[in-house]
Amino acid sequence: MKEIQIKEIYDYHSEMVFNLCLNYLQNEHDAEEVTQDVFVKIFQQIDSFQQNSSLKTWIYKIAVNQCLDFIKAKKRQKRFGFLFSITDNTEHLNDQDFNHPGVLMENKEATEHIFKQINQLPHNQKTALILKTMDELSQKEIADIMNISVKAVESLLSRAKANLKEKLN
Amino acid sequence: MIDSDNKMLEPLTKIEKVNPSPFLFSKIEQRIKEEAINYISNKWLVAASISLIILFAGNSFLLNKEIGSKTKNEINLIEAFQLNTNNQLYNE
Repeated sequence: MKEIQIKEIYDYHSEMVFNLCLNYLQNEHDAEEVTQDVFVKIFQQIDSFQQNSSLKTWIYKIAVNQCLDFIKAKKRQKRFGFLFSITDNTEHLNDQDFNHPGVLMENKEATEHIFKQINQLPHNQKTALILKTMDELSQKEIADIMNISVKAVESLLSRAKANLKEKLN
Repeated sequence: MIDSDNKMLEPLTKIEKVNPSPFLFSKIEQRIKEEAINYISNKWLVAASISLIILFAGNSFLLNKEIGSKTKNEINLIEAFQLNTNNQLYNE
């Protein structure tokens, strides 16, 4: 693949991917790391991209999967973290601190609180909620990204909102 | 219902879009290059392993064949000269 094409794809989609990762992980450092992973994967697999869906949908799919993989890996690392701490003094985990540069100072507390509750939702509900409220995608687009029907997206969103309401009250 | 949902999610709608670091693309380019080098070296590693296996298999095949023919030659020689094949040094 030509370098110009790579740069073009990056310029057009980097903000979208980075912000999705930020909203998913709520940590700037982690989001940057996952954005790198996403684009490396995109450029490795772009030749096998079949135009059944749009490039944007395909990139969203990769980004969501990479975020999920990152969260899983981090949980695994956390579980075995005590072993590393016995044998090694270096830090293996980034701070789990909320560090979202898109959140304004005056909204920080409220946003952090709501994100804490969102993180406790099942992954599919979290994904649907983030894509709908923060990325402002249509239900059809969310359905394409998540490989489910529009009805299923509707149901996921209503369950996510109900669960969130319960957790926030 | 919808109003209360919107109010609940209001802090999320105030999140501003952020641009990634200007150095991110060069980091990605660097990683792509590194992974391409790793891929090439992996290819070479596989090729070298296959060559070694073929070499080892060929060698053992030739060795077996040679040992087999040697034994056959020895038997022919013993038969031709009617040699004694037991290990006793002196005839009783």
